Amino acid sequence: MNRKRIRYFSDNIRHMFILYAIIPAFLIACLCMGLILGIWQYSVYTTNRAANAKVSNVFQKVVDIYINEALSLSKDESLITEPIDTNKLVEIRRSMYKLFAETKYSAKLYILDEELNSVLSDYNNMPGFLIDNSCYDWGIIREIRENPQDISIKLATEGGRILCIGTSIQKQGELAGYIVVTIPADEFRLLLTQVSPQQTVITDGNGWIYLTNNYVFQDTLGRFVREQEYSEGFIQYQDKGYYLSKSKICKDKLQVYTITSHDMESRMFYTMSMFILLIFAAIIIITYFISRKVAKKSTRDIYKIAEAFEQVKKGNLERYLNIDSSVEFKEIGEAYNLMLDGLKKNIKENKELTRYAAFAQVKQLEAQFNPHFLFNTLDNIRFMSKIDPEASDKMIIALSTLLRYSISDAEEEIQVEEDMRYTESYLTILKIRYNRRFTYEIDVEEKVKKYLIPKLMIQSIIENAVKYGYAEGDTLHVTIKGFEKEGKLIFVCKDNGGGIKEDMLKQIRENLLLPVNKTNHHGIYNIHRRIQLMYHGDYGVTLESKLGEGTVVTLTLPVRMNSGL
Amino acid sequence: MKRKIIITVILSFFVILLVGYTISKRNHNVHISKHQREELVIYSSHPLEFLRPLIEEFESKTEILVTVVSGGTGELIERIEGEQNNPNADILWGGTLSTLKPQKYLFEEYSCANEDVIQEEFKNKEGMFTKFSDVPSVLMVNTDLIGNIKINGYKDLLNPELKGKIAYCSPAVSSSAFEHLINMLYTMGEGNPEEGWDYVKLFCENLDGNLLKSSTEVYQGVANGEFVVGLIFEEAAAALVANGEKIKIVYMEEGVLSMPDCVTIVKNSPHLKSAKAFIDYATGYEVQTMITIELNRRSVRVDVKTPKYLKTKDEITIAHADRELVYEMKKEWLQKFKEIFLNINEE
Repeated sequence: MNRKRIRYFSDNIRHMFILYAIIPAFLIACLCMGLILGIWQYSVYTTNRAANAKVSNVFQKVVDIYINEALSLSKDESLITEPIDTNKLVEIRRSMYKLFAETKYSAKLYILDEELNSVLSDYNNMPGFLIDNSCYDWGIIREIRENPQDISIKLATEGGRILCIGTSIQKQGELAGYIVVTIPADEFRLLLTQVSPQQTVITDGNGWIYLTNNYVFQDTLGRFVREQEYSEGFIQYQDKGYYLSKSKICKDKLQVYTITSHDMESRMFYTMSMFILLIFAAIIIITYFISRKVAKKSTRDIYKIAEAFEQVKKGNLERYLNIDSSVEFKEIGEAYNLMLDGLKKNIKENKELTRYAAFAQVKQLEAQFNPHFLFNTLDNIRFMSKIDPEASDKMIIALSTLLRYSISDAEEEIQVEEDMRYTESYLTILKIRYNRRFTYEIDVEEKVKKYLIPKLMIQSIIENAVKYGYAEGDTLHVTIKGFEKEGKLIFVCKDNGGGIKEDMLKQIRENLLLPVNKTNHHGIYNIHRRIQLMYHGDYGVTLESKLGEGTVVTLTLPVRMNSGL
Repeated sequence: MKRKIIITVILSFFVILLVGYTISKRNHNVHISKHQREELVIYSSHPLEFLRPLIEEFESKTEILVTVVSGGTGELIERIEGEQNNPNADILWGGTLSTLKPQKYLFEEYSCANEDVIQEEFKNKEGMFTKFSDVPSVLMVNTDLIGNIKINGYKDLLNPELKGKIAYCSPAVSSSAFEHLINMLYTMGEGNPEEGWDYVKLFCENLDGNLLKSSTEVYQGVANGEFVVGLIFEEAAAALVANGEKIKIVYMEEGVLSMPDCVTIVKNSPHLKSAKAFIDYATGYEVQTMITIELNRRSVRVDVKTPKYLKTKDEITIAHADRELVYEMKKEWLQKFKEIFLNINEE
């Protein structure tokens, strides 16, 4: 079972807003940042590698050209063995000029004999590292002596860094002289500026710098910093970001490092990312507070409708809707108002119907004037007319008065005073009928006499008392008391009859609470029902009785006055 | 359902991008493991310009990778003493015998391969102190600023016109300054160092509170005109002369104390083999030649001549000091100098 919590409509709208607006926007922003970062890094990578390749290629090409020259010269042992004539000198010099024209990078050529004396008196100032005849085991000369067959490459210092390319001249397998080509580092400075802003460092195999335009990766002795000698790629050095690439040239004797500082860009990225994050944080915070408000505002009418329905549920039908924010809700509101009106009309009609029904029932209940009583009285009159015509005459008058009163439709309610008069007629009949066996007592407060009560209600109680009162003894005494108590009109009818059995009493009391009579004791029930139908609320009949001692029937009625009087 | 698919696609794209990025970044940073090369750590008080060609050649020749820590002799000895239990340095290069000898327990005994060709007076008699070069103490004078002031020796430094214009380094931090202190005590005390303190006091007064923190400050101070005259070792001044700076070297007429500086192996050196190779290299013919030709030093070898533009020892009045006494008194004298200098400046 998928138990889904039912949420508020405004929350739903809010969630929808966050889920489908902010999160995708954030993701897309992240994606873009990532893409930009990737593209940028790729461009750093390619430009750096391209610069490195360019410098390496040019450098390698130049060095190779001079290496070839040195190698071709080294095969000519006559350079050492014989004095160089003018033609040969011109030829060597022309070839050097040609190489310069070809490469655009100038170099100097030195040819030395075994004792390091110059045989090619080409330049007046021979560099100190070559001429001093103590330097057999130093620098380029040492390198050549260690590998006489090979090309040696070594850095030297003479008023600046110099690249020395050297090889030996052999005579019958013995070292006879040296050929050294030197290229000052300054020759390549222009090359380095061509690949700027990428910076280049050219070092020998041990990391000693030949040429550089970067001074960050240089230690105090003039070496490429040892700790970074083996790194490549994106590196952090002295808290700054660089891209470093490296290539080895000239048979691994030289190394070209290309350095791209991307500190600015990294910082920019960092700032941008922070900025975007901040913006999103702000948006999320604002949304959190605003979305609630917005959702509330846009769903305000829905809550109005919901509340109106809530009120209807509670029974308040006076809550009308007044919506004009949107066509749909206005429609709903109007429909609701129509519905409310309809509902109210229905309820009113229902009430009327109920009232008619109750009225009809009351009428029916009134009609329950006991036929036994009529029969008995008539029987008595017949009997009396023979032995006491005067009494019978009295009885006939009383009965006719009573009957006229009972069938008069004029008013349903009547003043206590007047009703008591007709009740007296009834009592007169009873008195004549039962003679000494029946006594009664009436005590009604003076002010109560003006109040209205349902017609013949007292008569009904007395009738009920007489009906059951003679069950045991021969005589019956009935007391009627009428008074006002706590804003209610009370009539108490007390008799000293046989009383009612306990289980019977219980049954009658329970029966009083039901809308339909289920026993055949109609008297009390009908009285109660009549009062209920006429007045509603806390009125009606209560019954108390003890077997052999009598019964007390209490009528509770509202205090009502004839408005006409 | 469709929405979910789109979201999933976007998210997975994002994840793939991130993963790809990290992998590519890692691939860029391929660290080639250093193939094991021998190393050597040198503590040196020589100027960097002096060290550069010698170390470049050493690395090229032996394939040993050198790390250099440079500083004043006193400072480096203190550091070595501090690291005694866990030595970092292999070689202490620089510092005169008189500075090093009191702490000889910090150094390893080693007799270098070139001991045979070392001049008699520079032989390694102590066992641990191989001599590297001969370093006479000299005065260097800025010829632009000297004017008519005559400076031929120590006594001329008391000239009131030079007050505050003399560059001198604290003898506690620099071995060259300490050599000058000994030189003053012996020559001005005419053989009895205790007699020399009167001069030292007067000299300190003429310093006018200037006591520098390294010998580099001395020769740079004179070269850039901050001071007129400096008390320094010959090589530093000679290098400036060779560079064509307006500097003149004055060998004190009262007598010049010439002290060898040393190259020594630190006790329990972590790279002993490399260290020994370096000592042999430093005393070899080529290095000794280089330091005379290119670096203005006097060699300790018999087969290497003094460079032409430096006076030969025959032309200089050489002073002598009782070395044993100097070792004994080093701490006391340094303390005494400090007191004198501070007293003058408090007054």
